[in-house]
Amino acid sequence: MNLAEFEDLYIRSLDAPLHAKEKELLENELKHNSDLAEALTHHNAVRNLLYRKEPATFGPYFAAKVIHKIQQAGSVIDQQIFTFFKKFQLAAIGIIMALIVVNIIFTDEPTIPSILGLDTAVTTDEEIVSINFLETLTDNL
Amino acid sequence: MSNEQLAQPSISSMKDTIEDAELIAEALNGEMASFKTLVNRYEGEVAGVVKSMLGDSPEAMDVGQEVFIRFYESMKKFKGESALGTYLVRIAINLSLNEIKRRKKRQNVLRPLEDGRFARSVDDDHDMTEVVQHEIRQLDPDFRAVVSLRMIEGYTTEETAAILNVPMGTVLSRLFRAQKKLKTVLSKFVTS
Repeated sequence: MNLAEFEDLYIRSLDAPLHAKEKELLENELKHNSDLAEALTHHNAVRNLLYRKEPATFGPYFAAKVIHKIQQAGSVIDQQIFTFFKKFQLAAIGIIMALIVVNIIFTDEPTIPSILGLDTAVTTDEEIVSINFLETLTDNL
Repeated sequence: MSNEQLAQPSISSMKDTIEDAELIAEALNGEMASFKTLVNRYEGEVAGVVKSMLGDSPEAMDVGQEVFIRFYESMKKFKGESALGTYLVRIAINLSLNEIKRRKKRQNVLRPLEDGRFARSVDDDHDMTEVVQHEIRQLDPDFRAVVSLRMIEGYTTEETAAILNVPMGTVLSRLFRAQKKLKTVLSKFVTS
């Protein structure tokens, strides 16, 4: 086995226990290869030096701050949606106002029901034109 | 943590895995208390990775918050194919790398101050840690990520590869290359 393969074997030994055979191979190689022994000792020492001894933290009330930010973002999004549709609301109101103005100009009776299209005029019986549906259908066929 | 402990999944970690799914389901139904429990549970892992990458800075806190906010926004898409901790650490690494890119553009004005601090002797442990952390932060971001996960936070080579979405061989290669770069500084502390 070359140096790289044994380095890989040793690194795997740091992750999880090796099988007995692999462990024996590694120990034997370490006895006869001072370069490997030095490199891997260095690796192990560096790892021990850097390894985090205590759990890290972002400080007190971190979770509460995260929740607060999420809830704030939610209300910001609601505001953004409201702002986005606001221009359509304004356009809709403009169109309704324009239609009312047109009705005022063209109506015969300038009353509120007439302007708003709430006329209560009823078609009299004489004005109703009767239609015989079946007769009309057969005539057209 | 010994190698034996690393190799065997603990019962408490399995229990946590079951509870994670329940907490996520409750959070999706609007239970913020459940989401808060998840944040508390994984704050340590995320903080470890982010602080390894960015140092103990206000930006690290912002990135840490952003990790959980991004998770909250994408909770529906989380299918549990990986462990939740692994998923969060992956987000943390990506956001940290983004922050490093932003810093490079901003040209960190604190650098002269940091250099000045290292003009003192490095006899005590506190200075040693700062020197090491400083040197790690000089590494290329990809190497820094591997050193952070593998050497500082104690993830296995396989876990590191899964988090970074690279082959194990790439993790080992980056690890050794990072060690070579750090050798000059670290040798002082290793031999002592």
